[in-house]
Amino acid sequence: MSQQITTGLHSHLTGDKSAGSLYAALGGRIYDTFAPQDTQLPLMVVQKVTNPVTRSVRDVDKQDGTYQVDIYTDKDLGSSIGEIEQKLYDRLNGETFEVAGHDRAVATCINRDRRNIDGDDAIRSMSEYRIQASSSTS
Amino acid sequence: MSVTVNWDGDDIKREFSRALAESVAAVTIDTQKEITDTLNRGSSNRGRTPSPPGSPPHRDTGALANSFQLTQKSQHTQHVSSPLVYAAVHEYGNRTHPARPYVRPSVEAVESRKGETIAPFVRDAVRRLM
Repeated sequence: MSQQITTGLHSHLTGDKSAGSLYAALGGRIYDTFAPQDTQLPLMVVQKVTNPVTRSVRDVDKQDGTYQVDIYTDKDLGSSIGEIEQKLYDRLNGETFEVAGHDRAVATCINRDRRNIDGDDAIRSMSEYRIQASSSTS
Repeated sequence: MSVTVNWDGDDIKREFSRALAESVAAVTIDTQKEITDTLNRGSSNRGRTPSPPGSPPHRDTGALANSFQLTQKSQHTQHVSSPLVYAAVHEYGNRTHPARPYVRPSVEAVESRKGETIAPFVRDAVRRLM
């Protein structure tokens, strides 16, 4: 189940490939769990933080989990990381997307744009999103 | 006829401040224990096989599990932290190493039972005021 949410989240983030989109800003480098060695920057990695917990309320099953979304950019291009993070926030926060086996999923930002240096050459912007996927059981 | 009610606010503030301090201490200790338990639940890893991405790291020497310490920051604030550099690398990952979160799932577990954890201290405060 958690893999379905991860897959749905990844599909949503890569779904808009238009000019000016998050996908275009990252050159399509949006990865599930980790990036391949020596991948060019900027890039984004989406990963699960907590296993989704299932709660049933009035004929609706809700799965609730936390996901970490990291953006890495070149350290010398620190100003662009904020622009890419804004695109991520706009694409995800409060948005509804499709997840296999569920009627829909909604993302809510719970921690936004905490930055740190990664290795010698990169800045990371780390955000956390709560994903609630729901499906009717009636 | 009239009735005068004297509301002793100082007593109430004192007792609930004490209950809050006791609650913070209890939740902090619970958090430290939950982190240690989460790390100790991982299978022993003398063979050095990494745990699956997204799940707590396997136990090797137990150094990480034993490294979390409590620090009192103020009457109502305590920190649980590890001085080990790789504590954060496991928790958050980096570009090429997936995160193996163990602190955030532990905090979530503590959050889900914090009502039960702090209830005795609130009850004691009320009892002392009766």
